[in-house]
Amino acid sequence: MNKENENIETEELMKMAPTLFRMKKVNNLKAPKGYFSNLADTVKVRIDNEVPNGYFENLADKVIDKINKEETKVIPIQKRNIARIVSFAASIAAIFIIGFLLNQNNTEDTIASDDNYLENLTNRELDEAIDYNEMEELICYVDFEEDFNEALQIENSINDIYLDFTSDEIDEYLSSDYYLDVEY
Amino acid sequence: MQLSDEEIVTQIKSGKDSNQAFRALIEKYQERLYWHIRRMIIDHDDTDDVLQNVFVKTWKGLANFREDSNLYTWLYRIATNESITFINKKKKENNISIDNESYHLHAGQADYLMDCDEIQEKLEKALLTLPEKQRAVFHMKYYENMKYTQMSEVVGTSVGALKASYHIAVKKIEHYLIEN
Repeated sequence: MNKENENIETEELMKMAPTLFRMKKVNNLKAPKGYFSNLADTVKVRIDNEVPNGYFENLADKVIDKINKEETKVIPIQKRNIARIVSFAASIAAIFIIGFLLNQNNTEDTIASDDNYLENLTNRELDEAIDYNEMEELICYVDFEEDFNEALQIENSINDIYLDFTSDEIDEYLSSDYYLDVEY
Repeated sequence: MQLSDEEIVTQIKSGKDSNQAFRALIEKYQERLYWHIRRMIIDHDDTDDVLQNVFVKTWKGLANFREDSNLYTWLYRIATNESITFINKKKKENNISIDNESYHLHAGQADYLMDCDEIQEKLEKALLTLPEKQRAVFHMKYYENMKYTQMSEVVGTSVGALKASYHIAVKKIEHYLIEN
């Protein structure tokens, strides 16, 4: 500010506020000792510890991406399902075989004792025989079909996530006992 | 050797020796900005907090700083806005009306006033009755002898409006001093 302007303003203040004009411009405030010598370092530390710009804008996307990646790696649960289905299928097959063998023995005995057994049965008796003796097996077969389809679906879903494996890992899995045991 | 404002801004923007340049900026302006804020806020700890915010904002905003405006007035503008924002926030937190003088005496300033002599105490109390922006204008003119054109850049108000604001502030203070 040049001297002329300063004088004008001083004169104006004298006219406007004579009490204020007569007062000394005193600063009664004090800064702590050494405050200014450390301020630059303090500010630097604060800046270094600031959350980077845009951090929160991308945070949700990053978390969702991470969750999606985690979800695609949940293979063990599906493997466990396959094992369960395979064991269930094996049990059903074992029941079939045992049932078939027992039934065959009975049939052979029956046929052996009476060669004209089937010829002597009426249509109604045949229907009843199917109803009572084979219906359960048929139901079991239908159930097994459902399990089989489910197993196929799971296998397909595993195919979908093959992308997450390396070719070495796939080869290792295909040559493993676990894979070789799985037959549909 | 002290760097010029242009050198400081150029170095920070270029990223080369930006830390040293920013340190130079802080060391160059810290005292002036401190007292500018301190006269508004009075309490040292609050002033320290606001001043650090000012420098953090300066660091973040320097990339967008237009060099056609003055670094000095730009820093003052940030400091003034931060101070006013701080005072208003404090008042809201304490549920005190914006024009209530009692806020200032609540916020640790009463201790400070005890250190002043009687006439200075009256002046400080008179200043505390002014609205924040008017107080900032009074400080810049009365204590810092800033030009109206510079103040205009800092406060974002026309020179005419600033002259009127200063005139009103002076009248209010004079009235307070006479009445009390």
